[in-house]
Parts: sequence; C-alpha cells; structure tokens
Amino acid sequence: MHRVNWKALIAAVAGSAISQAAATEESVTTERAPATQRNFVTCPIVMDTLDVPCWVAEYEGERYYLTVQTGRGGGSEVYPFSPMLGHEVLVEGTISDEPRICGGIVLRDAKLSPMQDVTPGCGKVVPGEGYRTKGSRPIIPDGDPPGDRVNTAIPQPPPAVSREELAAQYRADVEARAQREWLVPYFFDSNYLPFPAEQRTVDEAARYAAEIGASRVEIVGYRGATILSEGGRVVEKAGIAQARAEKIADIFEFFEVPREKLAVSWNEEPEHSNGIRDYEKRRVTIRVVP
Amino acid sequence: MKLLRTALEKGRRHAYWIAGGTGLVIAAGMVAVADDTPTQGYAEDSGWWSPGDDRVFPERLSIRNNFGSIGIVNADGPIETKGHPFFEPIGGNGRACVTCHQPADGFSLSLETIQQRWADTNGQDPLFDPVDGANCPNLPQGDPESHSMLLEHGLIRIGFPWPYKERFDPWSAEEPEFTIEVVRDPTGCNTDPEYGLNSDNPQISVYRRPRPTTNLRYIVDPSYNLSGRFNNKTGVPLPVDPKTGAHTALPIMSDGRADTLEQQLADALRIHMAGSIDDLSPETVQQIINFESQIYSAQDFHNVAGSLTEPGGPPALGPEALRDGRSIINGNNWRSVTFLDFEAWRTDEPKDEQEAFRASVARGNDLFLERPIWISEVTGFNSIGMGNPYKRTCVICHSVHMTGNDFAPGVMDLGVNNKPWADAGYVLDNTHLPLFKLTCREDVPPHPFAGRVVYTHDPGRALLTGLCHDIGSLVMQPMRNMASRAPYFSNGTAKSLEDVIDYYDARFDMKLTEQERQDLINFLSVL
Repeated sequence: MHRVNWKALIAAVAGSAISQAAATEESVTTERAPATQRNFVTCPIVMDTLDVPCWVAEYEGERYYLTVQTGRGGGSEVYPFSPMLGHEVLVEGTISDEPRICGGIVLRDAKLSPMQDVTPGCGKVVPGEGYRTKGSRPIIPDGDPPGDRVNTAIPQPPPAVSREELAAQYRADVEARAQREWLVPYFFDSNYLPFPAEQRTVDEAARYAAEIGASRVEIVGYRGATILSEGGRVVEKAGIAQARAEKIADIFEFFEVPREKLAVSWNEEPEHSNGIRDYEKRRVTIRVVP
Repeated sequence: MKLLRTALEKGRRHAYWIAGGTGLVIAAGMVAVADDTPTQGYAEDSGWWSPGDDRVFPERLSIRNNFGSIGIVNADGPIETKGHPFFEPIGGNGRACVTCHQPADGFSLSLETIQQRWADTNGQDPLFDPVDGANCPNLPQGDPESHSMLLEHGLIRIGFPWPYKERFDPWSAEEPEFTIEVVRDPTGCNTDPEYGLNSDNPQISVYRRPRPTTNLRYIVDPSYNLSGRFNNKTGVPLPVDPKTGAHTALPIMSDGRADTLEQQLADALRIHMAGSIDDLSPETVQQIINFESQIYSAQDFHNVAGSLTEPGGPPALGPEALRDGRSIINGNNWRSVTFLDFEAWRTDEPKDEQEAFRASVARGNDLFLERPIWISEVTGFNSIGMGNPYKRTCVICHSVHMTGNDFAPGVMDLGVNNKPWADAGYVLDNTHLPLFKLTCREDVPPHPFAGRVVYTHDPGRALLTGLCHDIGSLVMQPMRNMASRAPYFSNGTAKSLEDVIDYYDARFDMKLTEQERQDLINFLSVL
C-alpha cells in the first residue's frame, strides 16, 4: 500500500511541494473524499455487545459503526469482511442518516478491508456499553435451540433476485449461448476470493464458459486507489492487477477452460472514483464469449 | 480430578465380555473367555497386532483402555488378518498399515502402546524402523535415546525436501515465499550433515502423530465441502480425485497432502514402509481402502459412566452410532449438532457417582455447544472474513456431525505449532521439538497473525505450498477415541485430556471454572 499524507508533505517541504508533484502513484494529490464519504485507515474496535459483537472505528473524534459479527455462509450471499485486531482497516463508506448503531454513525454501502501487514497492538476489545445487536448468525449453533429458546439471529433480507430466478436465467443463457459478463470485487491489496459470494461468482463464470464451449473468455484485472477523507490516497500495490487476472485465468484453466481461449490482460494504472465507492475499481471483469 | 483418579483405579479391575449380536454384557469380576466364533469379541487387552499375524478381526470387539474400553465395529463382517493387506507387511521394512494404526488405540498409536511395544521387543519391532521411527535415520538403533520422539512423545519423523523441486499444486508458490533457519534442533536431524537443511539433499524434519484410520466415512466423503468446487478457506479450487472427478476436501493427513485414501496409501508406502503402491495390484489397494472405510470406533464403556451403548443412552455414543449415523452433516446446527444430545444423562440431583459423572458429561456437551469463546488469531478461520476475534463456541470449528472435525475443507492454525501461541499458558510441552525461524519475503502476503518472521515447531501445510499464509496450519482431527490415543494435537504436546482443555482455556482466555474444566474433560473421555 502506498499512502501519502497530503498535510504532512506540505508541512515538511516549504513552498513548492505541490508544483513539484511527480506523476507517479505516490504523487501528492489535493483531492480528498467528499464530505458525504468517510474513507479512512484506522485500528478497529470490537465491542462485547449482546447478542453478538459489534465492530466500530474512531475517526477524528467520532465513532463509526462498521458491522456486527456475521461469519461466512449461513444461507446468504454477501457478508461484510469483518476487521481483524492486529491489522489496520480501510473503511470506505457513505455517511447515512440512519440511527446510530453501537453508538456509531452508520456508513452506507461500506466496504471494510483489513490491511495485510500485521500491526501489533492495533485495535482492542471493549465492553458493550449496554448496546444490543443481532447478526445473521447467533453465538450458539445455528437454527432453533431445543426447548423454549429461539434463534436470536436475524434473517437476512431476501436477495433482489432469488436463486431460482438466477438459476433459470443461467439455464436460459446456456441454452441461448449468450454472451455474459461477471464482475469480481476485491478487498484492498487482496487477491483473495472470499466465501461465499466471490467464489460462487468465479465458479459460475467458469462453469458457464465450459458449458457453452466459449470461443473466448476475456479476463481483465484492475488496480484500485482510494481517496481518503483526510486527503491523499492509498494505492494498491504494483502488480496486483496482473496477479488478480492471472489467478482467475488459472482457476478457469483448472476448471478445464482451455488456456488458449483465455484472453488475459490487466490495467496497472490505479483507478478511483474520486472518493465515492472507490472500492468498485478493485475488480476483475470476466466476459464469456460464445 | 477425583473422578478421573477413581476411573483409573476402577479400570484395573474391570473386564467384561460382549457377545456380538445379543448385546449381552457380563460385568466385572468374571474372566472373559474369547469364543472362537468370529462374530464375538472380547474386552481384554487385545495386544499388539503384528504384521502377518494369523488372527480374526471380528465383526465387533471391545478393547480395554484406561478409561474403560474402545468399541470397534467391522461393518463388513469378520476377516482373517492373515493375507489381508492391511495386516500384512506390504513394503520392505516389515511394517503393515496396522503397525501405526492399532485397533486398541483408535487406529492410531498411543504413547503407552509404543512404550509397551519397545519393552516387549527390545526396540526391534518394525515400528521403530529408523526411517521415521528414530529421531533421525542415522542414529544408533536399539538405543532409546535415538527414538525419544516416538518413545516419549508418540511422534513419527516426516522429512520434506527443502526447498521443494516442483509446485505441489497450481495454488502453491513457484518458489517458497520464505526461508527457513534452524533455531533449535533437539534431535539433531535438521542440522545433520546427511539429513539436515544444509545437507546435499536438504530436507526439513518435523514430528507428527499418526492419524486415526477409522470412521473415515465422516472424513473422506467427496461431498464434504461447503462451497462446491472451492476451498472456502483459501478461495481456490479444491483438488480433484483423478479417478472419480469429485472434488476432495483435504481432510486426509495432517497437512492435507493426500487427496484420496489411495494417495495416502501411496505416500505411506513410500515414506513409512519402504515400498511402492506400484507393487500392489489394484485389487489389493482397494481391499485396504475398503477395510479402513468400514471400520467404526468409539469409546463404548467408561469406568465411571458405565456402558455408553445402553438403550436409551446418549444417541451419539459408541461405534454403532457412527456406523449408522449420517455423514457429512454440519454439526453447527441444532438440527444435527455434532454429538447430538445427552438428555438421558442430565440430572441436577445425581444419586451416585455414575449419575454425577454422566451429568458432568451432559454439562460438558452443553459447554461444547454454548460456552462463548473469543476465538482469535486462527489462520484459516479468523483470517477469512470471520473477524479477529470471533465470538462463538467450540462447535463452530468442531462441526462435522458425529466426529467433531472441521466441516469446512482445508487447514487451520490453532497455534500449537507457531510461537507465541504454542506457549499459551505454558500448558504444552514443546521443548523437545525443533524450532524454526521462517522469514517471509517482503513482496508476498505475510502470515496473517505472525507477520513476516514466524517461529514455529512445524511449518505445516506451508512445507507443501511454500506460502507464508500456511505456516503452522494443519488439518483438524476428529474428536473420537481420545480415551484411547494420548497424546494429542498433531505434535503430541498435549499429554492428557486435561492438557487439551487447559490449552484451549489459555489460548482463548476462556476463564473456565474448575467445574467447567472437569465437565469438558469428562465429555471428551466418552466420545
């Protein structure tokens, strides 16, 4: 990760720092994320709340709610990637006017990326302060406990499109040998495909390519950057776009899509969206051509 | 502790005989006489099963252990061991599969059995073959000091070429992401001029416990995975069985290096038995796999709890429950929790010692299912998006219904190999183990919790993949037959059930009360 603190650089170099900005990924930028956004790197905090723990972060004297403890799986498709103590977390989200959760401002459409390097002592466990939160998984086993107790997990909202509808669409596309595209998102500096959503996305794309006997599969990897609320940017490490694309290609080949049908490319130039949902630029696109 | 001491004392007096088919139990004080009818078993000391023995492995038998007895179901019926390849020396050093997978020890090897075998044969049994039954192959044979890892800790030496010559699988590093230095070498093998890291054929030696070859239907089923074709922990595809095309879940062997039982057999022949699977016919290979795939075992009698298989008792206990149970079911769900229920034993007013013990086991199961723990810094768990820490209970990881291994495929790093977690509470005795310093390159993702410099007693899966992320990670073991096969954990550093519980207590700061601790110990002792 390349992180430039705009304020520090201006303070360190008198006079002409801005005019001397070089055209590299470490260049000074006067950009900062819009006031509606909160993009920052910090050490996470987990609150020992009932029924499940609550993750928050502090930034410029304010507490922000990140997520409740969820886990992976359990019937839903998308879960936040919970932070890790011992790692800084990149928080990217839009300030919401929803009621606070765990005393923290809620960030809508938030993406949480644990930074890869270990930062000893980063983060802490704190008492629950009397807040109560429920998550998609209980602390005890899933499902309904014996006796009079009830499952405390809150059911996940149904997806916008049901699995049955998605499966039907998939079958129809296979029948029609339609061209299809998939987008695989990533956490910051990560080449990891979490369970379940990203793994299922790639699995489906590879299965589709094999089923229709695709003539070509275009795999393009991208490298992202995030404009921070304090100014400056964090930029993903060099080579990540290539690594992402090549890993997806390796997976397709493992699933018996011939290598010669894979058109693999990448864009090393970091992309961002001026601080709004910059995380969407961290991606691999897959296009299966019949 | 009082209950445990009482159990051990009673163990020396009990003997009983189970007639297979009738379920008749004849209580303590009678000398058990084994009927020659193949279908009947006996619960004496069945003794060592030597390669080439001419015996009958019955349909059902019980073998005494310190906690009571282990029950074994040979579901396909009795067999003659003479000529059966599981019981015959099929390699070049006199060993058979049964050498390291003894029925009395839950088809693993207990330290007690190893020591007895040494005494009975003056160290001449093929078990002590220097290739891996010695601390290092070139040490003086016949000297107990040369075999201290096996004799004192129950460990077999596994040597890995280092660095490896070719990638283990498509997801491994082309070249290892880390370097290895030897920090401590109690056995001398890792610094040996012939077998060490700086030898002409450099290798690294680690020391591991033999894994049980029983209840395999709960471990090896090809449907054993959560996310179809992917390893949900690593985010890459699962290996494929070349014969069936089914994806496998890395459950075999401590580092998951065998995808199928056939591959495990090939590996064992090559590195443990001085043989080759190429020397076996396909029918012989299948005969071995068939045998081990239909062996079910569990504790069936406990010196204090009594019969574990009586009608109306806890439904998950005893080998018949495993034979008849449903496999590849997620035990982290109330519909099918790992060891079902112990309601038959639950009471707040026990009338005697037996009822008190049984009630303790029931509480132990409650703790297993519902006692919250802050699970932290476990690679392959906290690092895959669960969050670090993650507050849940034992069953979140010990989630295969009926056996308590991991329902999610792949490896995890509990901490028994890597510092500082291996030293949590100073519970585990690891001073006899080698210690390595692994330094990860700056351009690769570091170990999620240890960072770029990792001190470890066993790099685990990382010796195959070369990935920093995998340092110390291993496949979780099932929880059955723990009464039969001390010591525990892959490196044998937990000498007793007490050590197992005390390690978890320290590792995850559980703050167990003395009652909770004893309840969990008692619970483990009946599985």
